[in-house]
Amino acid sequence: MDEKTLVEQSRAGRRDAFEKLVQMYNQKVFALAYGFVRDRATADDLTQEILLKVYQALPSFRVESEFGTWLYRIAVNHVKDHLRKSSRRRTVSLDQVGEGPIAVDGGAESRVQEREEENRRKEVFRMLDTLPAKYRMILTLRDVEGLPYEEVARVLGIAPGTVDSRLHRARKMLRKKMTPYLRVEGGRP
Amino acid sequence: MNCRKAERWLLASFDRDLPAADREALAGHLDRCPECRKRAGEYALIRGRLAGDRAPEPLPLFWERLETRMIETRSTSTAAGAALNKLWASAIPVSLSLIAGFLVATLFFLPSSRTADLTGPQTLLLTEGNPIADAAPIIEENQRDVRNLMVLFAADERPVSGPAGKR
Repeated sequence: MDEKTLVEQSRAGRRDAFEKLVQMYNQKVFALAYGFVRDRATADDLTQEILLKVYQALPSFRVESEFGTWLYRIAVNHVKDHLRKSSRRRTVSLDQVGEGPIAVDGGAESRVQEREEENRRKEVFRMLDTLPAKYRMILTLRDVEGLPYEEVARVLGIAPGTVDSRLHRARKMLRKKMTPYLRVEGGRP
Repeated sequence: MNCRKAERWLLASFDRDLPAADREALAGHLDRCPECRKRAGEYALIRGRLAGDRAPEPLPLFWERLETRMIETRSTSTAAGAALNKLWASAIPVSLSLIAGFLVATLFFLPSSRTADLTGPQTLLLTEGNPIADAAPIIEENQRDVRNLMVLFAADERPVSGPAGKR
């Protein structure tokens, strides 16, 4: 069953159709929320709130519009509201620390490398978190979530030219912030 | 090509394909400029780390939890709607009786004629009366002597009011 049919059935009150839409999108919405809050429980809660909002707003959704873009726009606005309200900085919960089983075989070395890589990644996200919200938002959508360029423009409701200039500035700012850390690594990819 | 332009093209190349000539010019610049080459490496590294981030799965029983919230929201909104309807149902007769009471009070307790506070000319204007009705017989009198007498008597009959009436 295609997405449009599922949307129409959901609008008509079919909960099973909405369940399928949730299955299609919950991971994407969760990943988007997680990209901002970096906390599994908070991202899960935000995803629930976003999809509940989508369910309630379905009657006002115009069928000729793109459902995914509409949903993403609701998600982005909801996350923006959350970030505005919450002055809490990015937190890492215990289940994200990576307390996996201790390797006892030859995989120990690769495990260490993985842990190092994970720490470097966390450093990039920590720096991303320090950028102004509009730059953080656009980098998350484009470079973390990998949304197409045009989709980013539609989701944020801005002109493609603005996406271009904002992305340019955001990437330059992030690189500038990351430079001391990259120098320590010796620019090693 | 200068380094500034090279950086702009490099960043643009992350989002769209550059024309072949621009791509070659950029590659040429990167070959010649170690600083820009280093910068390109850093951008690639950062982008790789951003893109390589794999979000964990949502918490278990995602749909079941969402469905419960959907049902709760619906029942809350239904209950709120019912309460609102009930309120409306009782509000309509109450409002109507209040309006009726107000109208009755207006009819019975307010002065019957609003012209009481008005001056003579204002009353005439409102009632579309003739301002010279009293003087009509005088004007219509043909005999001059009689008319003069009528004017004199009429002047004596006028009530004395205010400074203008003092003689």
